[in-house]
Amino acid sequence: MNPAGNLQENKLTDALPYLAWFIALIATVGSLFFSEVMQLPPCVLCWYQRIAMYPLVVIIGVGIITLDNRMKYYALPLGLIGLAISIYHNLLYYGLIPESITPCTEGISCTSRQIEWLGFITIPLMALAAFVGVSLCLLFYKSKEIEK
Amino acid sequence: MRKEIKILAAIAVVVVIAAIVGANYYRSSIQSERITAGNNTNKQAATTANAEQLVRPDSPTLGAADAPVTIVEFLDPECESCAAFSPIVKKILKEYEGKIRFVVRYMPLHPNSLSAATFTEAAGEQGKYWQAQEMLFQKQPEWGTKHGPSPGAPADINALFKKYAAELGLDTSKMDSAFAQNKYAAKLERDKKDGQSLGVRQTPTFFVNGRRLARLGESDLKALIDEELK
Repeated sequence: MNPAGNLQENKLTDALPYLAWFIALIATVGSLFFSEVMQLPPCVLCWYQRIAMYPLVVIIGVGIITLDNRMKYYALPLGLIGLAISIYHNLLYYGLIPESITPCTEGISCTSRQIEWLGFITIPLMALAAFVGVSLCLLFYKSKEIEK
Repeated sequence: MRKEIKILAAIAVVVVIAAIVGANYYRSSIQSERITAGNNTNKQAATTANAEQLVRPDSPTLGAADAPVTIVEFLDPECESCAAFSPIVKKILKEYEGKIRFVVRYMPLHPNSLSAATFTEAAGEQGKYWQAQEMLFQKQPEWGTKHGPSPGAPADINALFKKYAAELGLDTSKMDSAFAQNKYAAKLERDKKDGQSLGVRQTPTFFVNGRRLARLGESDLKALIDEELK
C-alpha cells in the first residue's frame, strides 16, 4: 500500500474510538433524557442495556485520554454483552419471540411501545443501533500495539 | 491540555448543553399543552383526555369554584414524595389564597393506597378530609409500606386506620362500614383510570388550569401559577 493511503487509513482508524465514545455518550444522555425528562419508565431489559452502555463512556474516554492501546479489549466485551441483550430485546419487541417468555415482571412491559418516531424509530432500535455502532468501531479499531 | 482531552471535552460540553436545552424545551412544550373541555390537546390520547377527566364533581376540593386558577393534584396517600411535597402545597395555597381552587385526585399505586384513600374519603364525609390527609402524610412512616427487608406494614392496616379515626374524633362505626363495604372502590378506580388517560405516570402530578407541571418543585409550580394569573 502506498504511504498516502496508509496515512489516510490511520487517520480513519484513529477516529474510531472517538466515534465509539460519541455514540456511547449520545446513548447515555439520550436514555437519561427519556427516563428523567420525558419520564418514560425504563423496562428491565433497558436497565441491563444501560449497565453495559454507561461504563463505555468512561472506559473508552479514559482509553482515549491515556492512549491506552488495550482499551478495545476492555470496552468490546461490554459492547457485545449490550448488543446481545439488545438483540434479544428487539426480537421481543417486534414479536419475533413470544412475550410469554420475557423476564419482564416489574414496572413496564419490555414490549410496550413508548416512542415511534417516523413510524419506525423506537427506543430498542436506537439502543441496538448504538451497540452495533460501538462494537463495530471497536472491532475495526486496530490498536497500534497490534500493528507493530 | 492534550489534544485528546480537548476533543472529548468539547464533544461532551456540546452534548450536555444540547441535553439541557432539549430538557427545557421539552418541559416547556409539556406545560404549554392544555387540557380543556371538549378540546383534545394530548396527542397520544387524543380521543380521551379532556377536562372532565381532570376534575370530577365529587373530588375533594378547597377554594372557590370560580377561582382563576385550578390546581389538580394526582396523589397517593402512601407516596413519600406526596407527603414531602404536601407542606409546600399548603404554603402555596395560603400564599395565593382566594386565587386557587385545589382539587385532589387519587393515583393509588402502593399496597396500602386504597385503604388510605378510603380512610381520607370516609373522613371527608364527616368533614375532616384535610385533617385526615395531613395525618396520613405525617404518620406515613408508621403505616406506609416499608421498602427493603423489614417487618413491613402492620398486619391489619384497617385497624390502624380505625385508631387514627378515633384520634381525629371521627365516627368509627361509619369508618368501619366504609372499610367493610369498600365504599370508595369505584371512585378510586375511576380516578386511577382518569390519571392514566391524562398521562399521569407518577405521584404527585400537578395540573394548573389543565397544564401539566413538567418538573416537581416549589418554584416551578409557582411559576406556572403566576403564568396563569397573568
